[in-house]
Amino acid sequence: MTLPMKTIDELLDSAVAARQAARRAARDNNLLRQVWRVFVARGAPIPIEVLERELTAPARQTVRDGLARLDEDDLIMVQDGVVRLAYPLSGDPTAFTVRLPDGRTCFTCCAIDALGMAPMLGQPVTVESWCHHCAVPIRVRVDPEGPDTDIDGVVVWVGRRDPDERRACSGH
Amino acid sequence: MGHPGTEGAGTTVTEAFALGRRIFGGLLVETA
Repeated sequence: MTLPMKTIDELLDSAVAARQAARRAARDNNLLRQVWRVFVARGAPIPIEVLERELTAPARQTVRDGLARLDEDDLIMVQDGVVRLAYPLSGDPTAFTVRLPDGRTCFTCCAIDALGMAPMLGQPVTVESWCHHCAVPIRVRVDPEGPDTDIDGVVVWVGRRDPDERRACSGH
Repeated sequence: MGHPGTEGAGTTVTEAFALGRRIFGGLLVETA
């Protein structure tokens, strides 16, 4: 089987790159960092009540308002009072498990999100998934500076999205 | 043939890592 292969620069046009830069700036957000910390610690969807209890800095209504803004900006996803994901992390199981050095595991929304976890956390991780065609297990150790070199033959599929499409975990 | 049900293209793990680092790098280093 031959897949069409491209570099990231070939895959991302200037509009997408600009949107990514804006989202990167929006992620420099103290409330979002606290949500990520709770996600890493729990590895599961987080009821808003838990965040209100565990987040120390903002007042309760500030947490709710802040989460609503993050949801509106598609940086997290809130359903029925539960934060189900905060990109790159998913509270629900996906095809991408990230194993931390201390043994904790968490799920990410896609392969790129999983590979971004080591530089995000500044620590090595192991990404576990499987081939979506032949189901062979895939394990890739990733340091903050890059993946192991022993990854010959592994291809990351980057799907096309409409410009205004919200992201979501597909489980693939 | 690509990812089931999607249009797109393949890229290497190294390229995908570079994009992941660009998006998320350094955002939660203090929890290390």
